[in-house]
Amino acid sequence: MRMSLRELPAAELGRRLDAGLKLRIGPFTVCIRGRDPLLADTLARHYPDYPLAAADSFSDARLTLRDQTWWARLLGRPREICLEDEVPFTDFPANALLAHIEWSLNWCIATRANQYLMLHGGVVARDEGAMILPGVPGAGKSTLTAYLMHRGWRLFSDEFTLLKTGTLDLQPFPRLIPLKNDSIEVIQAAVPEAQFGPQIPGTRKGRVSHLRPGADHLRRMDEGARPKLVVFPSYQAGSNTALKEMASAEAFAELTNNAFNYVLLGRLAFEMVAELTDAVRCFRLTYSDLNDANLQLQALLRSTAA
Amino acid sequence: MADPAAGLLWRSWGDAHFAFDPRSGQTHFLNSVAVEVYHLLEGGGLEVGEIYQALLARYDIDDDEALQSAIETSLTVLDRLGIVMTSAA
Repeated sequence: MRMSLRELPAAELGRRLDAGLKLRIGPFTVCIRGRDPLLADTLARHYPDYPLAAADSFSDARLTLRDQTWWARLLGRPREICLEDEVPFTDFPANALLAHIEWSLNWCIATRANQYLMLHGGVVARDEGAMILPGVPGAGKSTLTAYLMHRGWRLFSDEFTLLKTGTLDLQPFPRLIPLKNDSIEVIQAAVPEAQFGPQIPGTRKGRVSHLRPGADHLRRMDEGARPKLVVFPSYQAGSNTALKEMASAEAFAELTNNAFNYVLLGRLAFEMVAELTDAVRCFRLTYSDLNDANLQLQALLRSTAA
Repeated sequence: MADPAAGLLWRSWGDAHFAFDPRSGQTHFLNSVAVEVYHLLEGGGLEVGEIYQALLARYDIDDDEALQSAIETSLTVLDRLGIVMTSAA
């Protein structure tokens, strides 16, 4: 059994962060460095169940929180995260560190992990198979994913659909889910047991709070699944739950527009999206009631897989 | 005539056809008439009138203004996508 961050004594966490702490997040190894006590505290609070990777393992992404002098901290100067090239990638107030760790990692994966076809969409799974939830920002996919994760669906991701190239195998990449603005209160009300991080106001996406996936989701992050459904969600206040099956051509066109690296993978991506379209049923979901949406999606998955 | 260098990949669902152009990385959405026109042009250079006659014969229909117009539109689209080569009359 691999050791998790939670089991690392505070002094050892500090020592590893000085040299480069390596965490396994889905199929990736992420190396995080920095001597700032805020970094150790943030990781210990919000990533406790992620497994540690071997110190000599290859790092798919490297994030460094730059050292700051005590007076810079006193003056409230922005913190900075650098990537491989040591050039500052993003700067931010101290209270937004968690959001910028996540966004920096997003950038690393979205621009480099081309061993996967990456669609912009959440993925959750049950025993019957997996459901992809593609959507533009604001469609409600993170909110729906966050709810489903607490109602018996296994979290793969709230925005990275990773398909191993040449296959239709979905790879879990369970991360903290960044809920924005009113979605925070929606999930707090619907899922009282949800474990939220601090609210971070004034980011470029508005007010953000990160929802932590439970340890069960992380323990199973090496277990892939086959897709059965593609559901394009659309949150519409006050609407009844409605599922409408899409024509394959329409779904194919939308999926090709939803990929991070479709053009880069070229022919392979075209063939994979076409195979995916043929292998699943595709729907548009309009919803406002999370519980009702969950029940209808469960029934749909059961009937599709039967 | 169709550009032999295009090397298009095709997928179709009903009347909706998608052609992937590996040279540009772009995926084109085409209707059935455009696909018929493209495949006729794969056989070599044809005049608009020849394409029209070929499609009339294939569909077993008499003169059809709508088909003629659809062929002209398709040729414009295929030319703009860079997957056929046209020559001045």
